[in-house]
Amino acid sequence: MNVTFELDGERRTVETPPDRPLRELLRQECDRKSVKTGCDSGRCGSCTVLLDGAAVKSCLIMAAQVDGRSVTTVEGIDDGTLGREVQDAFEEAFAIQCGYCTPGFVLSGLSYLRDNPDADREELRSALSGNVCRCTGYEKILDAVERVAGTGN
Amino acid sequence: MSGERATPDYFAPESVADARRRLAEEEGFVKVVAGGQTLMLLFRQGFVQADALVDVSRLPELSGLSTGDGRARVGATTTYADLAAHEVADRVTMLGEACNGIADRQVRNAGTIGGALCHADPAFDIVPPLLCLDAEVSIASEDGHRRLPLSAFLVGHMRTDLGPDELLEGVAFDLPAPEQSGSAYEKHAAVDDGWTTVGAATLVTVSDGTFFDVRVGLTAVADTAVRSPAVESALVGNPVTEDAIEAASEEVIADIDPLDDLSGSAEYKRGLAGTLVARSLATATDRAGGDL
Amino acid sequence: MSGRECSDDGWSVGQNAPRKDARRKVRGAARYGTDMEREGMLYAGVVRSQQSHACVESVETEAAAAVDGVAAVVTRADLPEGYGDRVRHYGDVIAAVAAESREAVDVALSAIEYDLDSLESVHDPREAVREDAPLVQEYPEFSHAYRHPRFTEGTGYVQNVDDYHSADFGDAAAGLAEAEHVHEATYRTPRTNHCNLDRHCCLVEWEDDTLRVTATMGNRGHAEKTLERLFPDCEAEIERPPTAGSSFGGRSLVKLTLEPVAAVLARETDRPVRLDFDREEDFTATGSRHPTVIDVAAGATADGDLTTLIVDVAADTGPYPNGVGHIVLSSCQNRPVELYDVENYRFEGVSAITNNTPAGEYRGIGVTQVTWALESHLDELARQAGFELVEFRRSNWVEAGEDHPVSSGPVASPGPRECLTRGKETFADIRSEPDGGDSGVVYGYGVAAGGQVSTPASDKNTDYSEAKLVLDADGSLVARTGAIDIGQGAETALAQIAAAETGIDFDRVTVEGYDPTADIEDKYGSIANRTTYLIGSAVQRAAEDLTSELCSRAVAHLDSAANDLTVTGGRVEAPDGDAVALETLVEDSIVATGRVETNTAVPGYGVHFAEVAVDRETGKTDVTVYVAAQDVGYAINPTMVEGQLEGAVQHGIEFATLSELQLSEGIPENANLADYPVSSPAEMPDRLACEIVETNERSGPFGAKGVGTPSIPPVAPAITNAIRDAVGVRFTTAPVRDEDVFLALQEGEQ
Repeated sequence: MNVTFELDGERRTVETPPDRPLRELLRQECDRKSVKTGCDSGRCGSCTVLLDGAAVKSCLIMAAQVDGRSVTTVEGIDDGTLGREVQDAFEEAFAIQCGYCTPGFVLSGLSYLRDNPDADREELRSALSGNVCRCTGYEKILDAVERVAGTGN
Repeated sequence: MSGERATPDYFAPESVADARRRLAEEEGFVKVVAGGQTLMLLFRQGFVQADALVDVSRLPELSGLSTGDGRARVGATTTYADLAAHEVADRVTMLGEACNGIADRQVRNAGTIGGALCHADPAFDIVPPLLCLDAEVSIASEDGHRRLPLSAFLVGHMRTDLGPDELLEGVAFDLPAPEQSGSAYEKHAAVDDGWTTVGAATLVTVSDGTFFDVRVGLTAVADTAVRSPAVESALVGNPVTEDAIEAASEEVIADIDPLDDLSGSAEYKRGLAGTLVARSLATATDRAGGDL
Repeated sequence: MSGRECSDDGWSVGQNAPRKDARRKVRGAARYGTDMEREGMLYAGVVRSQQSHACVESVETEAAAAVDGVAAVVTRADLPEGYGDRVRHYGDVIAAVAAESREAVDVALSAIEYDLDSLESVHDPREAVREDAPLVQEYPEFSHAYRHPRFTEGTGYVQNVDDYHSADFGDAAAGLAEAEHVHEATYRTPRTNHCNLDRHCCLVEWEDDTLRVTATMGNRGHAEKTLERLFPDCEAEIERPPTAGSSFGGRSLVKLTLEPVAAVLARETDRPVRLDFDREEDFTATGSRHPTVIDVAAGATADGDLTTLIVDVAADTGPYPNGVGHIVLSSCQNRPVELYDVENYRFEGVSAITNNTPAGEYRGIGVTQVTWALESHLDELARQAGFELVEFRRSNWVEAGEDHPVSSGPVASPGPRECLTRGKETFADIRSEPDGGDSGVVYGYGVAAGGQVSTPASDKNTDYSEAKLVLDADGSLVARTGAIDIGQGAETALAQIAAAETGIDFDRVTVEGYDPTADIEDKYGSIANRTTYLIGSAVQRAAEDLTSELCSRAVAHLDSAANDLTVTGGRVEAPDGDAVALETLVEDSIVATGRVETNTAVPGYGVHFAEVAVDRETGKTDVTVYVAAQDVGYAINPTMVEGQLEGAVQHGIEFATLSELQLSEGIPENANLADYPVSSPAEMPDRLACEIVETNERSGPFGAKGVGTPSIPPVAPAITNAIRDAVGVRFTTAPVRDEDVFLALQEGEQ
């Protein structure tokens, strides 16, 4: 089937089996390699994208269901946006080590902050629980998102 | 031999009637698709190979969350996020608490109440609050619609009463009277975003310092989520005291039959159940205005 | 950290220089192993054994070979000599396929039929080495050639022995008999997994006799040798993907069911072949942490002098020895007496070959396990004897300058004492003061010390590293080393060292990841805690060589002797203020080389403090406050050092309280990320403080030594010592899950 959707602000039409996971569609047909493939159980969150602005795990979304909707990856974040603020905060807070989990965390953090601009560390621990990191112990990731929310020390 | 796997046929019907027709007419194994949060895993892990997919995620008749006439109606394609954000989740606190502890935000943004009920995993958190509310499911069937209690819909371990060409439309329940009623959800899990070891939902109404109505529901303690009539009957009519809650909670043992699994041993779950029920009851009672 | 801001001349050492790799990673431009693609590439997949020990009787591949798009199908019989006709662990290779698409690979894999003849298997390391155990591996040398002689006569370890170590001094039996206070216990440590998110992936291609493998590989030299042994007459070259994912040891070595399988397919098809592990394979076909059983006996005098230690270890290495069993045993043997000063010591350890899933390198190899056992043990001994817990540790630590009794050389850095002082102070400041209101929740406090060495050097093993610095005519500097940045910040820290030493602006220094054409010798790559310490030293030497060359060239331009000149701010300056820009001194480029060698593995110590809150009625145990006081020698980049400590705490929490890859008769029960309990932000402490202690290690660049591995050993015992404090129960099996705490408390109440 053909699926037409907005990807990082650009209209795309892709021919795809209907049940193709969005993760694979984005990585292969759309060359969005920032969408990662850490696991097969829907746990790690490294495949997180924004679907109509809401954070979802793209490995759990069927291609057919993206038709007519908008998808945002980290590669579509522009200067002057909240997303860029989050990315800059990650850099400044040293929230990145190997970086594999980073795109997913940026999108997860961004979407949460849009709805909860004053998020504090406690609620962020839970809000970001869908994203796994192996390097940082999460500390500086929380620092980074707090920094944008203005609630950190 | 072809190097391509067979692609399932895909249908996005525009009405429940159309959807039911597809389910009846398509050959082979037909899967209804809502949020896909469970289904996509079953596909990836090779447990399910569908010949046809019937996508109901955008069917207007299955969507929507409304309250009126003292009753709440939750459309099958309502997401956990939608439910948690609705005022009904504030009003019936155990619903909001259960929702907010399910998996993670990403899964809650896409996973649906209907999908959860049809998958009937015995450890899902959303079920015990609905059982406490005596929720009723509405099913589109041959003669139009049929309704049955959620407890009757959940037939066994990952098995429901849903027929092969029936469609879950939604679930509905009476809203508890806000004065003098309170609810709570307590659970244990080894890690955040991990499996629930045991979960306990309670809904309590107090009147004149006694327990007037008590509903207790648990998950991950049997092959379906269950109510605990033993705890309920032990508490109803008793004065609102901590001792009464403690004593009644111990009775939960009679209504559960947990298994050893990756979330914990049966022994641990039996040990947890009474404590989580007691804590849930204490919080619910407090919210109901009961003086403990 | 304050006071670590950029200096006027640009970022230097001891400052929080921004990470050079951060921007491309955060903007989604980084490309990892699993992102690799190449034109003409074939995808590959493997049919893996679902049994833990069996003979491969037959494999039918015709149907698979006939699938559209399939380029080759091979069976175990086509693998190099030594694989043999048996599968020896769940996940071992039966057959493999290369095809034009992932789909075709999947279809072909399902079309392969095979017959396995089950064999008796063994899963307990102590049972495996006995006479009556089934023989797992006739040729253990096949998977690892460099094995020192093992003298096991009279030990009772008859077969399936990967490695055996023993050491002793004094008279342990007599020491124990004479001790006023004796404690004996057995500890069991779990099989934990790194869960590196970037799964194993290799892209393999032959060019005549050159076997080119692109993969994230920490110990590139060892990997090349392994492949050259498996494919004789080939020259192996390991290249790295543009960005390396994390490792924690998981990416140090070749994996028998990955690169060699892809190499066979690549040779068969004469095309590049990409093979990766899915998440289950990443759990079961790679190298998890060695599970161990550790018997400890300790004896102390009435006034708290620890006189005697006896440590006996059995480690489970799986069916294909890879040299890591040796490291486990060495660490278990040496670390205890590098920290504690005892008169009598006896160590015996065996690494057993079993039919469990393979074990390999994982952050703090062996030392994580033995430190957990030892620090739990000494904590318990102290409690039983009525000794003050912290003082008992401190008073028995070795003093700087004393000789190591089993490994070589003197103890150089006095790290643990300062860690103790600073850590204790900070912990007292930030620990909770529960008001006892909620009687269901009890708090407990625990302390633990541990050390680990930087580099695998020893008096029998010289470690060496070379670095090349290339100064371009435009004044920019490129460093070539054996390092790869696996997230630890090598690209940044090494640049800071080069910048500080040469005075060239940090922003003009680029550290390139390992490159096989760079013609530099580096023995081990980015493993074993050696990147900053040893590779950094090589960079510093190269920088010294460069500045010396620049100064001697500058003499022609300045009225000064070379010795009086300094290189700073992109120029060479004379004492009279005259200066010449570096660009002027460079025609084409200047290449400087630095080489360091060492026979001493330098220890770094940590003393950590943990507070836990235990809900007695559910067993739920939270680490609430944590202080990691760590001796790092010198912090090249303090915030990055904090990142290492925080990550170590995460992995230590998993070891102590959460995670285990469960095998039942060698068959995994939770080899996926939903079932294997991986930590989320909620499992980290509510308050986590890092105390960076700088003891100025003379042999390290600017005094620095490694941080990544010494930071992990104290974590798990600090936490379980806190649990002991809270609930009065000593757990001798890790992880100590909420359920374990609950059941122990229940049992106690009966």
